[in-house]
Amino acid sequence: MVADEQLMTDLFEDAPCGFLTLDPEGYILRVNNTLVKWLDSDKNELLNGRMFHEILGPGSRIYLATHLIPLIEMHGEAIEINMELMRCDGRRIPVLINAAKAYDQSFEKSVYQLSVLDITQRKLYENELLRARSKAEEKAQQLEAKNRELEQFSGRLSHDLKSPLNTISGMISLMKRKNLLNEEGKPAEYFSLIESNVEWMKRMVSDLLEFSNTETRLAAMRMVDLGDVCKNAVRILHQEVVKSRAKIQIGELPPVYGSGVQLTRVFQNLISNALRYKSDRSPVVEVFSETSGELVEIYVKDNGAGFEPQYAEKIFDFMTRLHSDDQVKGSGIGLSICKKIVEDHGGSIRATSEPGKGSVFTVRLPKL
Amino acid sequence: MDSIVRDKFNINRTGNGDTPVIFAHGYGCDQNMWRFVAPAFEEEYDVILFDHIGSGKSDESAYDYSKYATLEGYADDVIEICESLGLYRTVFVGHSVSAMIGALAAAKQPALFSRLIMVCPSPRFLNDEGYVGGFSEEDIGELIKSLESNYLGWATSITPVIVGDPEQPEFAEELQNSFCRMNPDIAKHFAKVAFTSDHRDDLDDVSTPTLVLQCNPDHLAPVGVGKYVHQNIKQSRYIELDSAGHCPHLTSPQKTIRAIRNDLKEE
Repeated sequence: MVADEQLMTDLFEDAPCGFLTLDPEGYILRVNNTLVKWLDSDKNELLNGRMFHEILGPGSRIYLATHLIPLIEMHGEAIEINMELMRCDGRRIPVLINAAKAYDQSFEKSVYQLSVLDITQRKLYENELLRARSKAEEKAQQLEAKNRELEQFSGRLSHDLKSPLNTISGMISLMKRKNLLNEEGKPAEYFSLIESNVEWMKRMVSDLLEFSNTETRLAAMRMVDLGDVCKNAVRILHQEVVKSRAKIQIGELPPVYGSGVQLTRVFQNLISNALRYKSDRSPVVEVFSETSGELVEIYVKDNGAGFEPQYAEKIFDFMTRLHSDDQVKGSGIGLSICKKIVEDHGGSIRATSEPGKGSVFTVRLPKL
Repeated sequence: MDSIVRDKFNINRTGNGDTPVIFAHGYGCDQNMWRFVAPAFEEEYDVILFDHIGSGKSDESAYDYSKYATLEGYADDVIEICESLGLYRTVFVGHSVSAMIGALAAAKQPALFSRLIMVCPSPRFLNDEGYVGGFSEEDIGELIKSLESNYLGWATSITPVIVGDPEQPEFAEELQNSFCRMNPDIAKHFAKVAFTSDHRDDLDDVSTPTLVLQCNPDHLAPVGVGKYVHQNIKQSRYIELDSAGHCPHLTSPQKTIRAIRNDLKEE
């Protein structure tokens, strides 16, 4: 038994953590050697009527009364409370305290039993993390501000460019109507070139404007019926549909959570592409969906010209085209807009195709 | 009781008596701080417990940073509670910073209060020339750091699930993460206001009979401060509880109950 007692005493006194027994009023009743060593103090000194708050840093002194003691009294324990010990020389030791209210046999009364862990290294790490986090937050705020600036700039620029471009194409139309460009020969040829370039610029400016406006604001998100979205997109494309004698089949489409306006843009772009990049046959576009797990998959399938599978990812790049403007008109921005919107909605988009066999664009979105 | 006011301040009213006794908790927690003391008064008094706005289960949305930039905001709340409950000649028991809140309320509307009982009061925690409040501005900054370091990440910081005090099992069911729960920003703001405000000059305006209950030693509201309060309130008594620390209503509830009861009986 004596050997056991000695073992217990040694375990207590030289434990790798500090042990402290407190009277609820604050007096230190018992303290182990480890804690005495950390405090660079004297055990008898500590047990001679000293109070716990006297070995705490000033902030912790207040915290003791406002939080620690109430917690121990109300819940019988307090767990992982971060406080600061203070040595006589003023040095602070950050610690983690676990405390429990218990009946102490030797003192024959209720006491607080505390275990004290020195977390100096942890605290340094913690502070580093906090510093890094606040730096990151600052950076993120700066980036956001810059982004907004950029969006506003490109929006303004596009808006300002639209007007002169409209004037130029307006003038050319006027000249045509006044029969000034009907003759064969160089002038007509040159003006045709001017006209097609202006149309290209107008398209580019319009798509750039659209891209810069494509920030899906969380506030605008709500339940959206994709069936309605696609029908709306087809309505917007009505003239193109009629002109290309296309047949559009829209199947049962699920509801999702998102922005109706943005999602309409996605399907408008996809269906428009299907109409423009057609083969010799009349375009047939099918839109249908499947649910797989947590996602819904919406397929936009066409019987158009298709493209080489190796470009399946490249086509979503900003201002990247596989065709020249003579072959099919486009700015190379439409699919990157689709990708941006779909990803903002927590989804993904990809394409599969083979030349001459049409293409399938798959939009994946989180299930409602 | 107006249910809007009741919910706003999480008012709990119990007791069989006529004389209303309202218990106001200090900084850090909520009305649960009184659970070892308040029940002792239910038989003879009309006991009212409430949470300050921003603490406990009060309506957090009512926390206005400009209203509560001084303790006057809290004093106005106390007046609102008394008027809404139709209380008249109330006994106000306030702990720590709430002792001053009571003083301000009583100075504004003396008719509402018959008696002020201040448990470990302090009109100013910061040191000043010729006045030892106990703390410096840096110390309060350190307190804010303590608050921040204990809110980091883990939700259980100040709201542990009730384990159950084996000595008082009847409370085990009731407390469920409600204790000491405070919005971190409000906690910091209230701390700054509570520990940096100066209401020494307001003690003069208190005409309500007051009892100062002082602990010795109390490292938050030292004896010198308690005596200062007593000296500056016209009709006041000063009693030193045979207890140390700043929360006698938690650590020495019986002594606290006795001291309050004796004072009320002598009225």
